[in-house]
Amino acid sequence: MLRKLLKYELKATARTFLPLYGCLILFAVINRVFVAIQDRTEHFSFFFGVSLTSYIFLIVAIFALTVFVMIQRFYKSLLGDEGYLMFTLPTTPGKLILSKLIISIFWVVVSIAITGFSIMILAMSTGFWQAMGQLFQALGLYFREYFSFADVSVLTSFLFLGLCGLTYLILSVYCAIAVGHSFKQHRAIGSVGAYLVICLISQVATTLCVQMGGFFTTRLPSLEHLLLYEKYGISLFLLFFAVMYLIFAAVCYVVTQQLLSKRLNLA
Amino acid sequence: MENILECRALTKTYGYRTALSNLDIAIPRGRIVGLLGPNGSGKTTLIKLACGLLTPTAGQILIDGKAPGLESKAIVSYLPERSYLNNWMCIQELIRFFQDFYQDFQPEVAYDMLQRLNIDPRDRLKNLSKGTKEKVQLILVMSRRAQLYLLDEPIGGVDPATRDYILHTIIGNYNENSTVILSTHLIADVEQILDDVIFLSNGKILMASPVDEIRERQGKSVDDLFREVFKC
Repeated sequence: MLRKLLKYELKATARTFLPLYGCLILFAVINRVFVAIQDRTEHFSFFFGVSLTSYIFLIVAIFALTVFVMIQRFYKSLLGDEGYLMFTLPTTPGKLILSKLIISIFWVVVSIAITGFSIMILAMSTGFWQAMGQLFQALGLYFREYFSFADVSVLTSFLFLGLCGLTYLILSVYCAIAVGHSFKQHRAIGSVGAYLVICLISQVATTLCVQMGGFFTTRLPSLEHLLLYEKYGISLFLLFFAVMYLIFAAVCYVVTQQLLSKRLNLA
Repeated sequence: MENILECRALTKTYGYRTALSNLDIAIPRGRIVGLLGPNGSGKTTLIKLACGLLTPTAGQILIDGKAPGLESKAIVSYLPERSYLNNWMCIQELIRFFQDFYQDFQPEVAYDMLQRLNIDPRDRLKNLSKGTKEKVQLILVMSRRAQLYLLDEPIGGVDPATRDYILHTIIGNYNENSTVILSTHLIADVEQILDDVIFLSNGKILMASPVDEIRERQGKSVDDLFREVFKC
C-alpha cells in the first residue's frame, strides 16, 4: 500500500517539478552559451543579463516551490477536498504521512542535485574540465594515502545528520498542520501557532540534550578524549545530533499520526 | 455480522452546534436505504462518520461490527457530494488509481458505463462539465463490489435524464448482499428504488420504516409524507 501511495504521490508532484527542472537546465545551457559569446563580443550583454537573472530567479523559485509543495501536499491534499479521497482509501493515516514525507525528502534532494548540476553546466569550459580532472586526480591520491575509515564515517555522519534534520523539519511542519486542523476554528492560524510552539519546544529540548551530553562527557574521561582528539569523535558528535533530530522527528510523527487517526474532522 | 451499519447513541457536535444527537440505527445487509431530510439535518455528517472522515463526539458507529478503519474502508464505497478527484488526472488514470487501491474494483464495468454515456476515458477531469464529472465519480464508486455504498446526494446537480441513469446504475450494479445508503432531498425521483427510508431532522431520527409500510399503512408516497413531516 505504501508503495502505491508513493507512486501516486510522485506522479502528482512530478508534474510541478520536472518542467521547472527542465527550464533550469535550459537556462543553464543558454547562459553558458552567452558566457561564450561574452568572451568574444560585448553585444547581447542585455540578453545575457536577462537570462542570467532568470536563471537565478529559477533557482530561488525551485527552492521556494519545494517548500511550498511540501506544505501544500499535506495541507491541501490530505485535509482539503482530496482528503475525501485519501482518507477513504484502505490505508492507515500513518502510511499517508510517510508517503508524503518520503516524496518531500526526495524532491529536496533532487532539487539540490539539479541545481548543482546546472551550476556545473554553467561553469563548464575546456579549462573547467581540465581543472576538474586534476581535482579528481588529487582527491584520488589523497584518498589512497590518507583516507581512513574515520573520514568516511565523518562524511556519512554528516549526510545522515542532514537527512535526519530534513526529516524532522518536514515532520514538524506536518505536525503543526495536524495540530491546527484539530482546532474547531481558525485552523490556519492554529497551524502557524503550533509550528512556533514546536520550534520552541525543540529548542528547549536541544539545549537540554546538549547540556546532558556535555555533563556525561565530562564524567567519562575516555569519551571526552575520544570526542576531542579522535576523528571518530566528530562522527560521534554529528551522530548525537542526528539521533536527537530523529527522536524529535519520531515524536512529531506519532503526534501527527494520532491526531489524524483519532481526531480527524474533514470539513 | 448481520448489520452492515450500526449506530449506538451516536452524537456529533461542532462546538455549540449539534449535528447528530443520540442516534441509534441498525441497517442490515441487502437493502437500499434512503437517508432523507432537509438541508442541515445531519445526513452528510452521518455518512462522513461512517467513512471515518469525522470522529464521533460520543457514542459509536460500527461498519460490519467494527469502528471505521482500515478494514471498513476496504468494503465501503463512498461518493461525496463534492468533487474530490484530482482535476489533472484523466479518467483512465483514475480508473488505474482505483484499481490499484481497491481489490474489489472492476475496471471492465467502469469502461462499459463510460462507453454507454459517451464519455472518453482519455479526457482530463478538468475539461469535463460538472454533470459529466459527477457521472464519472459515480461510475468509479459503483464499479466496486463493495458491501456498503454511501452515496451523498448522488443526483443533486444533474439533469432528469442523468438522474434516471444514475438510479438505474445504482440498482443495476449493486449485488444483493450489499447495502446502498443514499442521502437526498429529491425524494420523488429516488422513491421507486428505495427499500427503507430514514427521516432525519436536526440530527435526530424522526422515523425509520420500510417504504412499503409507508405506502400501505399511510396510503401516501414517501414524497408526500416527507412534505407533511417537514412542512415549514
